[in-house]
Amino acid sequence: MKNNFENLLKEIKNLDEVNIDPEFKHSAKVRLINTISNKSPIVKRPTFFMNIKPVGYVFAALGTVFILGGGTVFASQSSLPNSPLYPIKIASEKLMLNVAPTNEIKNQLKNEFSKRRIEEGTMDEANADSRDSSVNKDNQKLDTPHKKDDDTENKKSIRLEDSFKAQPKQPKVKEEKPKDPIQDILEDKVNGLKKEMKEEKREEDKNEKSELPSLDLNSFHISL
Amino acid sequence: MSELKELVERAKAGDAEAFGNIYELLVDRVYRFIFLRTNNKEDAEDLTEQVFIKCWENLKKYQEKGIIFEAYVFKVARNQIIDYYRTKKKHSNIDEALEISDKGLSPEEQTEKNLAKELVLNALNSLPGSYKEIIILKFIEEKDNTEIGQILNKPTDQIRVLQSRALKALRKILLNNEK
Repeated sequence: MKNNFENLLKEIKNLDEVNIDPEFKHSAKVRLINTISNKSPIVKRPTFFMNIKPVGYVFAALGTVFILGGGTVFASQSSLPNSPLYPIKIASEKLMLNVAPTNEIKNQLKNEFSKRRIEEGTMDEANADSRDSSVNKDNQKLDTPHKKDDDTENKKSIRLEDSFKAQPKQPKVKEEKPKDPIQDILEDKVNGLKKEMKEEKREEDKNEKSELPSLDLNSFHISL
Repeated sequence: MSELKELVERAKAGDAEAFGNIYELLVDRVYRFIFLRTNNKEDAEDLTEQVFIKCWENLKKYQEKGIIFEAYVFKVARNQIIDYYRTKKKHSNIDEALEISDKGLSPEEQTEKNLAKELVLNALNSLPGSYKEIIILKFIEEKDNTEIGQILNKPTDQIRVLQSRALKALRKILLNNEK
């Protein structure tokens, strides 16, 4: 049943109506060849970066790191304990010891590295001595003109003090800030009001004085 | 190297005649696939021509990375069909299919044209797009699940599931038509 059904489906392609018209098929081919002969398939020109595969990028990056890192390691080989490259030198030595294929080579490397340490010590001491001697010389050079400089400086300071004394003290001038026009108007108004209030008070006082009977203290008699 | 593979290499180099031969090898199947999806002879013819022009234009981009050239052409055809429905804003496949089945042939004609096949074809036209597509590719064009997966951009497991569902749906339609 199932096979019959599937066979029926397969036979659909034998139906005329589902198949291409032979005339159309031929004419379409002629048209197609004419069209494609005039236009070539679209070509995407590969750029340099398109040709490099992701693996290539990784290798390029690693190469850069190795070149730069290798340069640093090489530069660190002549560094002394005070140098910032010295830790790299020590690390590279440790790496060499770890990588060494036989114990013999390992021992040879150890000997070489211990020689290096001694050399570094002597070089460092020599450098320190030369640094001390140069510092002393510099100090000596600096000490002798110092005294002269002190005298001249003292004299200069005395002269300056005198000149300050000679100059009359100038009063400090307050810097006037530009006034705000609104503030001016308000101040005027407040002052006007104050004046008015004062005048009113004066008038009230006068009135009160005129209303009150004049007290003649002499006319009071105390009668017991 | 297979015949088609060789022709593709030649066409890539700009050989128009080689591409003409590719057309000869594939056009029947491509047309049938398009016709069964559109149910319109003229539209199927136009789309078939467009598919081959598109394939030629993008031939340089095609690289055989897990997808064979025939599957690639069917993929282009499928995209053309999708565009066709999108631009024409056709209602649905099923509606169209019903139109066709309503046309109805006289009993004499039907017997002439092998009744069983016609009935199956009509039933096929009543199927939803995705089921129809898988039935055409699997049973009419006789493609294997891997190639169908490449054309439809789906894993083979999913193709197997879709296939059995599509067959069930087709049987159901045929049984209803018989009633």
